[in-house]
Amino acid sequence: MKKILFIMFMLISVCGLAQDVKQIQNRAAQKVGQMNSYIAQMYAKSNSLENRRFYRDKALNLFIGRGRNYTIGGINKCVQMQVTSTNSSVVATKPIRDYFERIINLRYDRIEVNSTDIIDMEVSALREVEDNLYECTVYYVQEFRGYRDGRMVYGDRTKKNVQVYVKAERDEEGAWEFIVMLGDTKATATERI
Amino acid sequence: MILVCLDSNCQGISDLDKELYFSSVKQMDEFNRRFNCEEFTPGIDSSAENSKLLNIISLFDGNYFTVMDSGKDTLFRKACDFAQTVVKEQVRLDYSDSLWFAQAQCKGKLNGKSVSFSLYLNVRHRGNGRYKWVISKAEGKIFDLDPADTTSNIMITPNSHNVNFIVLSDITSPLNCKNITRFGQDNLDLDQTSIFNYLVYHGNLTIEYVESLEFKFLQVPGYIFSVKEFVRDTFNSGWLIYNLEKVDNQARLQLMDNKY
Repeated sequence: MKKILFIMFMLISVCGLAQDVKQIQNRAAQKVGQMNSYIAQMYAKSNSLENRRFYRDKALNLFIGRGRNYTIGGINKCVQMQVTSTNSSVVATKPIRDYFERIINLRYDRIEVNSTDIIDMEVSALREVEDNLYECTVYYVQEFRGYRDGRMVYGDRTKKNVQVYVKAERDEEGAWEFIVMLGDTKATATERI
Repeated sequence: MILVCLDSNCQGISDLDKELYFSSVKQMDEFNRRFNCEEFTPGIDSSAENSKLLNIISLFDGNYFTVMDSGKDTLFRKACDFAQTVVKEQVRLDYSDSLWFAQAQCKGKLNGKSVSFSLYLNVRHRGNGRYKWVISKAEGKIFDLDPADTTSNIMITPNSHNVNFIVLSDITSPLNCKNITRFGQDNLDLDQTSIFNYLVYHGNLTIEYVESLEFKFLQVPGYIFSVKEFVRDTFNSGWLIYNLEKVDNQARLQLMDNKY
């Protein structure tokens, strides 16, 4: 009897989670959107350096391991940002902390960043990594424009894929709660604009 | 959770770019959905006659059709035949299929020197609906262990057993080690994947990044097709079919055996 009850509980749990897949995928895209908002603040030269660092720390909190080392699938690593370009064979891979540090210190008078709306972001299937841990990938496009003396001096368009981890936990009432954390990102610059 | 752009610096992309965005095949999951006609390329009316054929043909890199095939038939005709086979045989692609694999062209360092080689990876079921990618094969010139000297009569001489095979220490010395494979039996079958594992295990070989990535699919009877990402700002972009080979089932099986 206990076994039957356990199986029924598991079935309800799994079915419950399956219904939540769309919701989880939306949460993943929202988390990426949140990161983009913080990145915009890190780029904004109207913010003081202290303020830009504040948003860097908020952005790092969105990442698994907060940008420091973590272990998934038995692999110990930190979150990395890989930047490639269709115009060059150079592939640069940096820890996300270093990447954000570079963003904060970019030397432009003004920076504009335009990204795909959260609702339009492409989210891959949700796949189970281990018990109550899932992953999906969020795709979006970002345009960057840097200005000096009122003139645009650099601009590019990049296609980004962000790995997203979702940890499912039960709250005190037994309902599923989903903790969404960002992981590695691959960015491919297609052209200067 | 309120998620609004916190600054006027953060805006949406333009309408034109949105059209490009939606046309693009952005991820492999989306490629599969379009191939299975669960989703249609923008501009294709899903209720129209031949919509499935058009949808599958829209998954080809447009440049593929500009090349003449043997001067007789165009590759477009070949793609149409392929699409008809897919629709007729009701072929579906799924992430969990065992009939597809990834080929990652890797850039790495072997004892500090730049090298490139391929890793083949495929999806393996772990039970309970869970999957993982596994390295099924390594391939590359660096794993060949070509002998430095292919002409001399190199061997362990016939009476070496009487002197406790002292010569074995000589054949592994820096002077002779590049000919190590010539001391083996003829047609020695060296397993490149084992060599890859060994080199990585001992810290001699590291991978810096994946230079290019493609996927090969064997689900369609009589065909093998390859998909890679075309990063460009056109309506025909993203993960697209760039190569289509007509093969018999024996060749398909052989490729599977070779890569697993």
